[in-house]
Amino acid sequence: MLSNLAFENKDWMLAVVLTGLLLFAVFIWKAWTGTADRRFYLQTFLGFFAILCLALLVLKPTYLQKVRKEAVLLTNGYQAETLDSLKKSNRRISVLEYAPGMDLSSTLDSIDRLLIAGHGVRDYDLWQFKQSSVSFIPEAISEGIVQLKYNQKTILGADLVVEGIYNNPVNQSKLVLQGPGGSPLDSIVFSDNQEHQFRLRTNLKAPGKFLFFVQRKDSSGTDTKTEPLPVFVEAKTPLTVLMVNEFPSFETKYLKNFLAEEGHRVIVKTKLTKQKYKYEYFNTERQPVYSLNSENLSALDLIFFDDVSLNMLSNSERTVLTEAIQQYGLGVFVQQTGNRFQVENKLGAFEVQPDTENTLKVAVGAEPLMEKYPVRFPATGLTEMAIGNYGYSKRLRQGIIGTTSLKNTYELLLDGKQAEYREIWTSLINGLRKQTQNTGAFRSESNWAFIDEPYDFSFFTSEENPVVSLGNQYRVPLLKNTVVHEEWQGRVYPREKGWHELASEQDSTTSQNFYVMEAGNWSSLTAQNTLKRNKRFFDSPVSDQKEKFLPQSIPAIWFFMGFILSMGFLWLLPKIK
Amino acid sequence: MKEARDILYGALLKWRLLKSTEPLLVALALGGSAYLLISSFWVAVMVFLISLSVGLWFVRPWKLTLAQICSRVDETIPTMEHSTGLILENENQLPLLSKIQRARASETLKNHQRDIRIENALVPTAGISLLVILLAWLVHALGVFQLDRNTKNISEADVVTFQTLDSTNLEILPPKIRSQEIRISYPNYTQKLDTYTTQMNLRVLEGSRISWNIVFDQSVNGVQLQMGADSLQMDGTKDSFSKSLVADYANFYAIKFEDSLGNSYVSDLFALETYKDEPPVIEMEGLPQFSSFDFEGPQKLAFTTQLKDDFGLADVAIIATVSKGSGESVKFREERLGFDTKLSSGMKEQNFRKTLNLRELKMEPGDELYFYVEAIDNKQPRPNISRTETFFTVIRDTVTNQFAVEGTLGADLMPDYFRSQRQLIIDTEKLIAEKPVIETKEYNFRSNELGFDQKALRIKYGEFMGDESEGGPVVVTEVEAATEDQLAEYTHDHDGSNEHNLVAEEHEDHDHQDHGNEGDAEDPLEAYIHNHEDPEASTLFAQSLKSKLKQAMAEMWDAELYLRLFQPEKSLPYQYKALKLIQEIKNSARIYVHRIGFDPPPIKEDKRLTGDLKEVGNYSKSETLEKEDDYQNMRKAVARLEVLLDSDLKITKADRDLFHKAGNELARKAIEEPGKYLATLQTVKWLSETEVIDAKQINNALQGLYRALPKKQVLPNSSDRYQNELNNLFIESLNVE
Repeated sequence: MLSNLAFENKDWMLAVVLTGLLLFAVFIWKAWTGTADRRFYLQTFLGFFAILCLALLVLKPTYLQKVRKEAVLLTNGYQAETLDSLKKSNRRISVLEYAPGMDLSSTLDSIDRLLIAGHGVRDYDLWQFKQSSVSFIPEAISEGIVQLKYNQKTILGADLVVEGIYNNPVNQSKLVLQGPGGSPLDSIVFSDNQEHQFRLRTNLKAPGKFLFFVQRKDSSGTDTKTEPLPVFVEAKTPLTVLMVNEFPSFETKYLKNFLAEEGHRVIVKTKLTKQKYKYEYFNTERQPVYSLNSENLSALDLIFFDDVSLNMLSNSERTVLTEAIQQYGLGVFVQQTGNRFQVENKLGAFEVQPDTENTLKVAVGAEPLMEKYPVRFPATGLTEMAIGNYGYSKRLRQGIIGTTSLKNTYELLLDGKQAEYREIWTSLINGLRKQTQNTGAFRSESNWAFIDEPYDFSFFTSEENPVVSLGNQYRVPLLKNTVVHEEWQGRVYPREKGWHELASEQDSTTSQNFYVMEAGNWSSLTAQNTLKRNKRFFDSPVSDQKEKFLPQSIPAIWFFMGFILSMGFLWLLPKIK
Repeated sequence: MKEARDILYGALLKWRLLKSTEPLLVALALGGSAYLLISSFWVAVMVFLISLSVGLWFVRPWKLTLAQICSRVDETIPTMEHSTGLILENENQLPLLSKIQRARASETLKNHQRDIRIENALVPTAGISLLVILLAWLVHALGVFQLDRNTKNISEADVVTFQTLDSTNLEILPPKIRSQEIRISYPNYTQKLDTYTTQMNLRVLEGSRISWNIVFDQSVNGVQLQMGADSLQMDGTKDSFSKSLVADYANFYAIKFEDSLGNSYVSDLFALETYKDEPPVIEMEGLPQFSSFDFEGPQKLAFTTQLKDDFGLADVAIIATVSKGSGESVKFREERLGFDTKLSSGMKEQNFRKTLNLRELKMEPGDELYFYVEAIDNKQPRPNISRTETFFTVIRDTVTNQFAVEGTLGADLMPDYFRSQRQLIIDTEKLIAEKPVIETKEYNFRSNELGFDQKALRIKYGEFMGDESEGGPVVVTEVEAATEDQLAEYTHDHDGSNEHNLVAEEHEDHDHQDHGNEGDAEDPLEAYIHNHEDPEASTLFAQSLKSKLKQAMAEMWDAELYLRLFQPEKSLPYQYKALKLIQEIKNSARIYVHRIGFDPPPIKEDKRLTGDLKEVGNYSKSETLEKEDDYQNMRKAVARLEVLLDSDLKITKADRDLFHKAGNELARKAIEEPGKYLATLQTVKWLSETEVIDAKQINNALQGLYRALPKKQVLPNSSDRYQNELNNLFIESLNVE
């Protein structure tokens, strides 16, 4: 009990005690009449009591009391009915209105149990509730996009596919995907008002930072809400490709033309006859590749070998090539000249299964029917990966080797199916080519941010002291991850609308672009995400929850009354006599 | 005396002149006012001439006579005592008193010469005229009565709006176009009058000359006509400017100028579309694509043709080709025929009639006529030519019954000596028929000659059999030549010449090669049959063919024998038999293959398959292929606009250049579909000029440009990644499996 006692003006204790003792001494001296009779003891006691009351009046003692208070935190989207029923069950419940970023610590201390109604508190506020007993009363999102997926960073020519779920759409309302400037590109009409999956698609025609828009229109076609969809479209640099062929073939001829016309650096080495070669250089200087060595391999992104020439490599060449693949991630494409998939080549055999079919409907464009070798690639293992239904790749440490079962793909070109030909070879090449090393990389949940809301990111680098700055404005303090020592975490609070760039100061090519939009955009999506996170967060029971005690000061009136009474009695005492 | 008369004459002349001057003045005044009001010189001249002639007819100065002068003089000069008339009288015929009076009058007239007052209204006329002119000038100057085209109110839609490029705050009222006039002069050949319009969006005939005349309400500088990527300075001073150019292709233009304070303005973008002079349209009526005629009966082909052209026709003709003969001996004759109806040059639409008489074209049975109608319009410098499809007409040949070796071969490739047997029969029959009328010697000679021909034919067939010819090859060729000459007039057949050469070559081979082994080697059939070295081991087909040929030759022997014996009648049955056999051989003669003209290069046998690579070297080729992107700047512009929209950045010079280039790229596309892209093009153009931008414009430009961009496909590209240690560990463990 005594441990629960405390004094507000603890600092004055000494002075008060001394003064009290002095006073008490004066009392005793005053009361002393020579005899220690009953009256003396009574007076002394009353004096002591009065001085004690006086001292406590000054010291203001407090005692701890168990907290038994409930509060409800009203967040976005709460229902009035919920609040009413809460109030009915507990009349003394206190009501708090939530605003993102508010400080709740003092309130939380004073209450025993908190109820959160609505969609929940924003994730950056959740930390405040770590040690509280909180019950979350979730409210479903009434209407709007509750899930959204699209490629926020993509390359020129790719399709922008916006997928998501729309909750309770109004019948006959429309969702329109708008391009830069607001021209409509794709749309969907909702036919019922259930949860509705949607998928909007458009081709990305120009590189740069663009704002697409998702616009909701009601059935009459009036625009109800337009929300921005930031997309960063990159235009990529060309590749350096070497093609080594044991004999000239149409396949190589058309492939090299295709690559060269797209601006890639292509070197073609074709054997004409014994020790005589034909060298072709496209968009690059003459640099004959007499034999493979680490120097000329380091400049390459991808090598095409036909299976014959791959097996004709000398041992030293093979060693160099293997090193380039495994260490530096060089890609190798093996062109089949016959059905020799299973023959062990110098880089290891491809695992294939015999197939009775000689044709294949290639899953690109207009699905052309094409000739193929009677082989099938098996279901992928740990290091193998399928490319479409026609290609196959196998990872060798950092690099990838691959091949295709298709025969004579150039026939597509002769048929006028350029788009399909390009698509096939683009997927094959992009599945194999070397990926250049960056010194760092950013990772973030999304490339969106809202004004005055924290934007978290991770920066991966092997640098000792990485420095990341936000759009050349200021350096962002980074926190090193204790487990993954290459990861650094940072957080920024963007203040302006628009595109922002996080860049590493050591290597300016490593950057992260994100778009900051005004609060209020994508409210339903934000609400849904908040709801999900809150559910997860408050679902786990708080283990270290203690009974809460709050110091309560004893009302000073009691001490005052005590003082007055004892003083009054002391005043009365001689009168009674 | 004479002098008095002269005075009178002089007065008359003067009167007439004065009288004429009055209408002249009036006419001048009216003409002048007309010019001032209508601003057309020709209208003014017309008004002048009309009012002058009306005035002259009204006044009739030529009707004034001496008598009128006299009475006028009498009235005005009392001292003349009404005797002026006497002056004009012949002195000799007058009585004395009159003479005296006349002399007095003459004297008085001389004295009062100056007093002759001629009545005229010159002063009031001149005054009124002056007043009219003044009034007209006043009206013109005030611009109250605007009949002038130039100052016609420009209709609402045609008003050109200008936007200032530099700033929004202007200290002066921005200049406006007071009048705009565009003259479209069509090319001369169209014979169309020039048209005038105030519409800035133009659609003109290719090759038309367009003249812009623009008058501003205040003086401006540096007026430019921005046509596509070019800026053309407009000629003119102060406030009126003009420019003319020939429209050869569709384009866009805008007008740019600076006001007196140096602010730049640019107008909206206008489309200049051109359309082509269409080629003439030809419609044939009453003519089937294929028609045929019998040789007997009329061979007339009548048809009408309707021709239409948008600006006039220059020429029309029927191009007819007559083909004679067949196969390689076909001959063509081309003729250009006119229609029966004459073309009136410059007509836009006309019907033509033609009756083709095939006889006039000297067509014979079997001949074919191909013809088409060609029309040329009057476009200059290069006229449009259009033609119809080709029509075919043939005169049926009922006589020839063509024998075809193969149904699939277009030409009859049988060598001509197979036909000679028929010819021999014809000649023999002819000889028999002529027997009574010709001499015996002649008869015998011809019979012998036929026998010789029969022999030559036999020898030729013998060659196919591999037989030796006893007559010697030289003789055979000579005879053959002779035979050919003789036969020529009966057969009309020249397409066998190729085969003829073949035979001749074979003969030459005979000369040069050893006779000993030629039995096998020289068999011309060998190449075509499956003869496995031994001639007796040939296939069944060749066997029967061979035996048939042998049989035919045996028949020919007999035929020749009887011909040599001057008994052609007896020879005939053998000849028929031989012919029949040869026909049978022909029918199974699929072995004859059309020779095609490919001569492979000679193979150097000594080099072949030696594996000598001495002259083979490495081959190296280097090429740089520029990847052309027609929309490169448009893509860049789109990205840049997005940035501009995002930030409050000012538009820079580099941006304007970029937008200018992007605009040019878009213009290329827009020329094909101006309606779709004009608005965007205008905005982009505006962005490429201005310094003040607003979000709405950028949005519009962005929208339009993005929509105009063609689709793009993902192509092979480089990629980068960060090699995370965690990833590496993961990959390592994958490879261990």
